[in-house]
Amino acid sequence: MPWNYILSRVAMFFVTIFIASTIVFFLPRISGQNPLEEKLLEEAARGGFLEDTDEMVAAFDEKYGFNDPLWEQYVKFMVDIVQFDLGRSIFNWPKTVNQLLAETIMWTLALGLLTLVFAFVIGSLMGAVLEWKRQKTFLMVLLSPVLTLSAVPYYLFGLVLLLAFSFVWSIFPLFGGYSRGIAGWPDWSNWSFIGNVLWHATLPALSVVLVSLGGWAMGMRGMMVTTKGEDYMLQAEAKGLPDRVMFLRYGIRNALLPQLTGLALQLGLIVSGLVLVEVVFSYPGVGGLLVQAIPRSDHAVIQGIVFVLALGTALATLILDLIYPLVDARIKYSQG
Amino acid sequence: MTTAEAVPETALDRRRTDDVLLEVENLRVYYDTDAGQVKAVDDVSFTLRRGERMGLVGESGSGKTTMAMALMRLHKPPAVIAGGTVTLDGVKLLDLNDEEMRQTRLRDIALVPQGAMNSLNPVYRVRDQIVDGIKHHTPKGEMPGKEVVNERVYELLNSVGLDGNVADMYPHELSGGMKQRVALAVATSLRPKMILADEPTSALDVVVQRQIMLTLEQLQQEMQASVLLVGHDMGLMAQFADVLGVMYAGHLVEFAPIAEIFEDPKHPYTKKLISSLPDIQVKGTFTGIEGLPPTLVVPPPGCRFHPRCPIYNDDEDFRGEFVDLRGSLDTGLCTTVDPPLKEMEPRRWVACHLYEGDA
Ligand SMILES: Nc1ncnc2c1ncn2[C@@H]1O[C@H](COP(=O)(O)OP(=O)(O)OP(=O)(O)O)[C@@H](O)[C@H]1O
Ligand code: SF4
Ligand SMILES: [Mg+2]
Repeated sequence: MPWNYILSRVAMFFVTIFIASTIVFFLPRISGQNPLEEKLLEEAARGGFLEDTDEMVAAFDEKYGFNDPLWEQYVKFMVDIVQFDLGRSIFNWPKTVNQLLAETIMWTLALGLLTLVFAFVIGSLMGAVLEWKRQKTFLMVLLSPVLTLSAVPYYLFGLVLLLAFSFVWSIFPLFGGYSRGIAGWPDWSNWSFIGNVLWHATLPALSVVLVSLGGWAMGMRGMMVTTKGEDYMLQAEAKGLPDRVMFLRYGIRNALLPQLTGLALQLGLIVSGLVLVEVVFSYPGVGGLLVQAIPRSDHAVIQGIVFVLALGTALATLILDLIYPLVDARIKYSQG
Repeated sequence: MTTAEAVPETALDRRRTDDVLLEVENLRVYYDTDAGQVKAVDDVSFTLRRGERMGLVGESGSGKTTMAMALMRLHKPPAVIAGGTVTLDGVKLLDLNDEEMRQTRLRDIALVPQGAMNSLNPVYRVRDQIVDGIKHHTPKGEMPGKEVVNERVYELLNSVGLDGNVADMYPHELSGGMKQRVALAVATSLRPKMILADEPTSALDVVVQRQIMLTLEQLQQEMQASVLLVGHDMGLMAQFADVLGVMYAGHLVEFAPIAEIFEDPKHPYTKKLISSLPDIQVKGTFTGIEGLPPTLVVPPPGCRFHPRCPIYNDDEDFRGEFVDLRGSLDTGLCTTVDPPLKEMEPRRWVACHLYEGDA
């Protein structure tokens, strides 16, 4: 792999992050809301009365540099970002955004990655087999409900699952990432805790996997149609290759390439895709955090999450750029 | 089985040998479409001898590819083999089960693809694509070691005029001519008895075309394989083929040794074809004759060629050549009875009411 290719891709990655950080910095400042004011107003509403809110806001603004010239704030923000210091939440004072992210991101990543991998593998295989066999198999019977589902948003299907399996039949828990109020939990070395986590994750995962299955299946099926019509497929058959070899090494192997691009793009969207699912299931992930932060204008938290999202997408793209030429020899490591 | 020494060398000798390798009898291949059955190959019969090179010409849509694919049972729906037999070296191919047919492909009958750019799998190296064919025709556990296999790969590449290091290249790193050579190496990797080549050079430039044909010829000579070459280039056919088949609208209308076809074409369609060539040295490409090919869903009644036949239509230019024959022709037959392929002399078959012979 030539160095200049790697360097150009890595440079691209940093440029993306730089631009994303800049946008993240300016967006809340355009919104015109002052999070402190919101916080104080909320406190006031709760406590009944607060004197001199304006003065307090001014004092805080002074202390945290919100009165400094914009460029100074910007430089400070960027310096912090480089050190991965995302500031403090106002509503979860005095927790840092990093702490809040640390508490939530693993839940989201675990749920997102697992569901993505499951849906990708099962969906792609399903699509590939459907096109390859072209017979009325049980897969054919499965296809129409799966396709119908793919038109439904995750959270809506999640609600239905929740209603059916938690509310009506009580097979799965109604909310949360694990059962609360048990001494010593969360304890990741405890198998019954892990079991409990999986039990809680089942419905959220199911709502994502079942809904996204159809998309992967249709994508793969379409690619398989194209691949089946290629000259090398006819040639493979003329070579007397067994059906299995043609399916795996000629069919899937070629049809999978565009699917991988889709997979990498979806990787970057894991967190945002899960936001509403996490809300429906009261899941302790980043999505829940974001949904709390937005109405309260908890800018540092929103900025932190958006930054992490951008970082994730850029990282996924970078990794894809670096490995794609290994999977497909036709793609040259060229600059640009 | 004929041993290598016993197989005669020249085309003339080959013709004398009556050692039939491929026998096609009353083959019918139809496409079942919504518009009706497209009778792309309708009642085609011919025999090909061991080591013999057959050319197959005919205008676009006459059914050449359909027939070639059906011979290897590579036809895809909506094509169905509606009847007939294909016998390769005593084995009835249409009676084999799928696994037997799979084993037969490449080992006994191999395909050289159209000179298209895409007949190699883009994600694997040339080596892997030569080896996988060999591997899946070798009983489990009998595959020789890596070194032996590599040696064989280099040997094959050299036999088609390629350097051994091509083995480690990907298809996109090869030129069209190189790809076609690789395809030849694959096709000959198990020394098949029969090679089908459907316009193997159509996408290549003239110089490369000639080189590829020479390579094919060398391999054919060396292995004493029979070849069925589908193409449009009459000049190429004249150089390459021992016998020529002419297809028209799903029928084989003439089948004869190549020299005899050029000297004395029997079927009016062949006659028109030959006379439409630029000169007697047969350098010209097959451009076809005026008029449109008939639909194969509802072919013209009687002889499928009659709407364009110079004899039936009493075409001025051809009157002289056929005047004697035409006198005895019952033109009523041309519109009512589909003329069967008849053997006029040994190895001279024609489907036309002008001629008498054994059906
Ligand atoms: N998939 C298909 N469905 C329906 N009809 C088909 C199909 N493929 C081919 N045909 C028809 O079958 C007939 C024979 O086609 P074929 O490809 O065998 O001709 P060909 O002689 O090889 O022509 P060319 O010289 O252009 O390669 C044509 O009339 C064509 O329209
Ligand atoms: S059978 Fe009649 S129409 Fe057909 S080619 Fe012969 S002369 Fe012409
Ligand atoms: Mg063709």
